[in-house]
This record gives sequence, C-alpha cells and structure tokens, in this order.
Amino acid sequence: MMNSNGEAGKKARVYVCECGPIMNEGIDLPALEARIGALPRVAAVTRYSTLCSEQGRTWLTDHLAAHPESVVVIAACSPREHGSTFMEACRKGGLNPYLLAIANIREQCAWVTADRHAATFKAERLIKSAVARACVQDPLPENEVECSTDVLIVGAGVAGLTAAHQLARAGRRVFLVERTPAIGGRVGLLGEVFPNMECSSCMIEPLMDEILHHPLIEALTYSEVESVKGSFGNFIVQVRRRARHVDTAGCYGCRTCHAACPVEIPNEFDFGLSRRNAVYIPYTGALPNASLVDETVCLRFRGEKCTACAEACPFGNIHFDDSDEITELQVGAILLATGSEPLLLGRAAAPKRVITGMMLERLVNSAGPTGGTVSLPGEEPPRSVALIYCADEAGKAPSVACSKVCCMSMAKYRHQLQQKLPDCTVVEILWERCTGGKGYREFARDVDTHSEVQRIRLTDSDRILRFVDRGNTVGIRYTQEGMTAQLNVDLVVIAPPLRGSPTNRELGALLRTSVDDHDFFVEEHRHLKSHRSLVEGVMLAGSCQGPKDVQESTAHAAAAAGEVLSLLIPGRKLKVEPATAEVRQDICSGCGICLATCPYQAITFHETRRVAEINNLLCRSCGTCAAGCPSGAIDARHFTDRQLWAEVDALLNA
Amino acid sequence: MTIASGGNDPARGSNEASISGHCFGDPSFEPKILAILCNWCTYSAADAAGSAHSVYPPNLHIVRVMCSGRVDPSLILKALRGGMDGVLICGCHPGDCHYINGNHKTAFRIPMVKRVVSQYGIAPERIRLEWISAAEANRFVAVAKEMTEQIRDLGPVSRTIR
Ligand code: FES
Repeated sequence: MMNSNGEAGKKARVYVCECGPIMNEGIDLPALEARIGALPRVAAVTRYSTLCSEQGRTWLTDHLAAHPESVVVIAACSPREHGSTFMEACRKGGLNPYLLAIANIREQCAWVTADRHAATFKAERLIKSAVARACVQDPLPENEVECSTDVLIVGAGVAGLTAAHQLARAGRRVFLVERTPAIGGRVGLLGEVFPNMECSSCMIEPLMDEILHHPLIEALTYSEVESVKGSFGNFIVQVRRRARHVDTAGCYGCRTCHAACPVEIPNEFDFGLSRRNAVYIPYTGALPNASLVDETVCLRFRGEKCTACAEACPFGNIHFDDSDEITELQVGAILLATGSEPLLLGRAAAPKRVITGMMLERLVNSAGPTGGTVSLPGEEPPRSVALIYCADEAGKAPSVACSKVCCMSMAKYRHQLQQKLPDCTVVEILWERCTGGKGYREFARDVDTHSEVQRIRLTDSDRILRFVDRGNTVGIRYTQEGMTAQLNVDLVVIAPPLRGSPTNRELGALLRTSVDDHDFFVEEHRHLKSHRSLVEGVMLAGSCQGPKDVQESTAHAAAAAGEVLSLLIPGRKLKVEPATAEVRQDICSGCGICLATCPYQAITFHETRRVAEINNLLCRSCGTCAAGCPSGAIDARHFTDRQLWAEVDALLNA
Repeated sequence: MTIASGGNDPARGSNEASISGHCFGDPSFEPKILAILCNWCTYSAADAAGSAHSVYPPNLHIVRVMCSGRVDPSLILKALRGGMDGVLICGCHPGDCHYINGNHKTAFRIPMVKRVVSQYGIAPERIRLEWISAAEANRFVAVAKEMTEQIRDLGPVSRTIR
C-alpha cells in the first residue's frame, strides 16, 4: 500500500474562507479552526472573510509571499467556482499552483449538512483529506513551446475560402490546398443560391480573386495532403502538387489547346453532362483560369507520341516532363474544409433521365454545359419533371439522414423551372419538407404560391421502388398507401442526403481524427465546439463536419478561423498543459493498451524503445489511460494514484 | 490490482468475517462512503445540490477526478480494503463524457470490479456506478441518501471481508 505519510516533514498552511457569514452558519468555524490547528501536519490555520474578493486575493497573494510554505490548503467553495482564482493567487505569491489543494467545505458541507455539529466534523474530514493530498502534490512546470502561426487549409470551397480570407486579413500565412484543379468548390458550380436567388458566381468570384492574389495566401490547386507529422503548433505536412503540365501563371485560358486534343471524356465537373479533353479547364469560370493536362487520360502518358496540345499552344506553355512535386509545409494549425457531396450508391447506373440536383444546377446555370437551357445535351427541354425529395439513384427513400439543404434546393429548382420552362409540368414526390432558416420558409411558400406543382405526398411506409428507363421518358414506380403506382415523366431530379467528402476518411487517418458513418468529421462537441476536431490544432470548417448551406458553412468557417487566431498568436508561445498523463518508461511493458484508451491520439508507440509516449500538447488530462494501464506505468499528473489514495486514506482515518 | 489477504483492520476492531454482509444489529453504525465524481458532470451536480441547499447525509465524501475514466479499479479495491463501506462512482451520461468516451471504459471496468470484490465476500452492492449530469442535482442527492441507507443495512465492510 502506498503510504501517504511518506512526506512526514511537510506541513500545510490552511486558509479557511468564511464566505461572509455563510460558512459559519453551517459550520462551527471557531471549533473547526481549533481542531485543524491541532493536526500534526498543519503548520497554521488562518481565517479570512472572503478570499475570492479583490482584497481577499491581494491579501492571499501577499500572505503566501510572506509565508513561503511548500504546501497550501484552501478550505472554501467548490474548486469549480474559484479554483483558478486561487491558483492565480498562488502563482502571484510565488507558489507553484499545483501545490495548492482545495477543500470544498461550502457546496459539499456547509450547505448540505443538516446538523451544524455533524457539518463541523465533516469539514474537518474534508480538510484533513485535502491536507493529505497537498502533502503529496508535486509542483508542475508551466512550460511553453515555440509554435508556427501559419495555417494549412484543406479544401478551397466556400468554407475554405472564407477561412483563408479571414486568416490572411489577420496577417496569417495560409496554404490553401485544393484537390481539384480549381478553387470554389460546389458553390463555384451553382447558378443561384436560395433564398434570395443571388447569383452564385457574382457572390463568390470576388472572394476567389482576392484569395488568388493575396500575398499571404498560397493556393495549391490540384494538390493533396500526403503525410502529416508533428502536432498542434508544429505540424509538418507534405503536400503532393500534381503536375498540371501547363504553367498556370503563363496560361491565359485561351483554350486553343483543347481543340487540338484528340481525347474526349465525360466532364466530371458537369457530372457527365458535357465532355472535356485531356487538356482542359474544369468549367467555364473556373479559377485559376488555366488549362491542365490530365495524365490519366492523355495519350502521351499512355505511351503514344501525341504532342497536339503542345504544338497548338501559342505560348509554348505545355510541358510534358513536369512531374509531381512534394512540398513540405510547417504550420501551427490545420483547418479541414473538404465539404460534402450527395450520398449516391453508385451501384446500379440509373437511367440517364434520372439526374441529381447538382446536375440540374449545371443545366440551369447560364455558364453551364447547355448555356442555361434546361435539357439533357442534344435533347428537347422536358415537358414534365418530377422532383423526388430524399431519394437516391436507386429510388430508395426516405433515407434516415436529413441534410436540410436539399428541400430548399428543391424549392429553388421549382422556381428556376417555372422561370425557364413555364409550360413544363412539375411533380413533387415528397415525404416531408424541411425549410428551417432565415427567410427560407417564406421563400418556399412563395414558390408554392407562384409556381404550379402537382404534389404527391407519401407516408413513412411508402417507397420509391425503382426507375424504369422508357427511352424518351422515365417511369417512377412507387407505393402509396400500400398500392403500387407509376408515373411517367421526361426528367427525374433526385436530392439524396449529403455525406462527407469521400476523401475525408483517408485524410482523417492521416490526421488521426475520426469520421462518422457518413464520412463527416467528428467534432469535439456537438453544440459548443463543432468547429474543432478531436485533435488539438485541427479545425473543422463547413460541411465536412455535417450538412450545411452556404450561410452556415461560412459562419462555421469563420468560427474555425477565429479559433486558430485565438490559439496561435504571433510572438506568443504555446502553453503546455502541466497536468497531463505521463508514462514511466522503465515500467512500461509496451503492450499498447493505452493507445486505444486515448480518444485524442495523444499516445504513440515508440518503435525502437518499445514504450508508449504521451504528447503533452495533445493530452487533455482525462486520466483514462492511467486507469487502464495494466502495468501501472501511466500516471495522471495532479491526479496521481498516490494523491487520490492520500485523499481516500485520510478520509478513512478521519 | 490485488487485495492482500486478511483485510481485518484492527483500527475498526472487528476480526469477524461474514459472507452475507448484513448488519448485525448496530443501528448506530455510520457508514463511510467514498464518492468519486467526474469534474464535468456529477461533481457539478453535487455543487448544484450545494447551491440548492439540498441536504444529504454527511457520510458521503467526494473525491474529484477529471473523468470517470480516471477511476482505477485498484483505487476502489484499496478503499474497500482500507475500510470504506461503500464506493460510489459517477460520471457523465454515456455519450456526454467531456473526453468523448472515458465513461465507456468506466462502464466496462466497474462491473469487473464488482465481480472481483464478490470473490472476496464483499457485497457487490457496496460499489455503485451512476451517470448523473450537471443538471441532475436532485438525483445526486437521492443517490447519496439511498446509498447511505443501503450501506447502513449492509453493515461495516471490515466484517464482511473473508
Ligand atoms: S468527463 Fe464525465 S465521465 Fe468523462
């Protein structure tokens, strides 16, 4: 058994706070003072009327400075109330704050004990326990480490752009890594945004321009995070910059090379509604407005001798021998803004007349593949359109998850169809409609009054069974009140719920931060800290954390950027939490059990020394690893086995 | 994490052992109960009980840990062996742990400790695990009262250790 009397020489100075008249009402303070004063391990007892008051704190600081004791006990209110106040007084008085122990004799005694006599005894026990703890507490160093204030942002959608802008305005250097060749994300592909039908590109283009020309922002398009080392304050990130084979700065986006390219494939930025060449610009209006060569389809990279584009380029700007580059970045924080996308199963290829909301967005967009004509390429505009809420491409619906933005998008599509195809019959198939948000329901209602729609409302037991390809039309087979029904239309638009970007899982593994079942990053706290991941220094911005519309994404991004600004301040070092867990490496058996107990990935396994190591910058001091270590090799500083036992042991003997 | 043989604390005066763990007619017996509470939920609930001046028996003494996940099974065993008549462990509700899932580990560990102590003739009811949120001051008080009475019925722990 550990002996808490080991520190026989130590004596505690005890301060009893009277809390005005409060403490004495519940506890016989003079009697308590006398009994505590008589304890062998107490050097002195001093009472003070209100220790937390301004005078009280000054008095305490001065008193501590004048009576340098190695250990101090304050018997007062809950440490949750004034623990930090008293720790600060210790600091100022020259005492390491971790040498202070607090006996909570107000909330846990004076206020909850019926009998004053019994309360006085209980207070004595609580103080004895705190004295015993104080005698075995260790001073903990309050260290600081140097850190970088530069920030890496992954994803250049509206959230990433907003965060980059905000950080750069505050003077931070930002590396903006984007997987695709263009910045702007999904918002860059939209025509208009609900509920005010604002032109999307007019909204986002000035922001994009600023980002591309900001001296503090380096936008690394067509790039991906390859590896991450280090931790909060000092991440070392390797980014693979895929070869574009076209010098971006020297390309004017004239597209002469596109016409020369013999390769044609479906354009993923238009979801297959248009075709692109191997040398291409993702979509009209894409920024940077520069071509690139897609190695995966270019003939030259499949062993053929084609040089068509290089010959066509009037500026001699195409270089086939460029290769991927690895750039190493040192940053203090990483902000994830990788976004979301519709949850498609990708199983059965749906009939071509079944399109997603994003595809309709491209058709409506005047800068889109059809120049704003709502029709499948090469076809007449549809005479009838069915909008099916919540459905995926197999028709199965409703999904359990609700992304809340899709219903508003559907209202927007109805408005746009009414504008573009006034004679088209629009049918809505829906289970429920979610239109929460400022001005959202008003917009949806407005659309309901001004555009005609046939509405098929289904109940929870109803399902879309499947889509039947009928050549020029598509059949929707569904059940309604147990009966099977079928509806034929020219075009079906589905709005599946969103899921996190499919790259999130891999990125999460690199950063050791979790993703949920829908590939959204897991936040530190659902309500209060949704912009923080589980790993210190890794922030979440926008819909990579959960479904969000533009308004919410930008607000979330601003919160994440703000968090970075308040954590990493130029000229200031990072405070290392002193009361973290520690591994006694001479005892550690290297079993690795602790690694699984830590939700913050603060513990790593040292391969050569075969022991566990704890990163103090990542540890949040919960102590779960200490309780889980089968060798007793981990202890939680300030909540050590010895300190906890000292408290308990003193209670037993009291 | 072992209990040393014996455990008859001379300070408590009894060398008698009993398996049943029932109090043998000592109504004046005042049990000592240790409550290990997580800082974020139940410790706050106890503070709130204080602010509300809700009375509970002075038999229960609180030790604060940052998370119920910090509660090492050996601390519970040592406390019982040392003469604590009951040990209450409280944390945040599942899913609410301030440290994501520390309490999930507690939820696994405590039943295990209960099984271990029953091997030594200690009634497993002497160990109790409760999830009490910061908003549930009343429940904390109710548990404190109930547990004190239960342990009073069980009698001193030293009599029961084989
Ligand atoms: S913080 Fe309360 S149980 Fe983990």
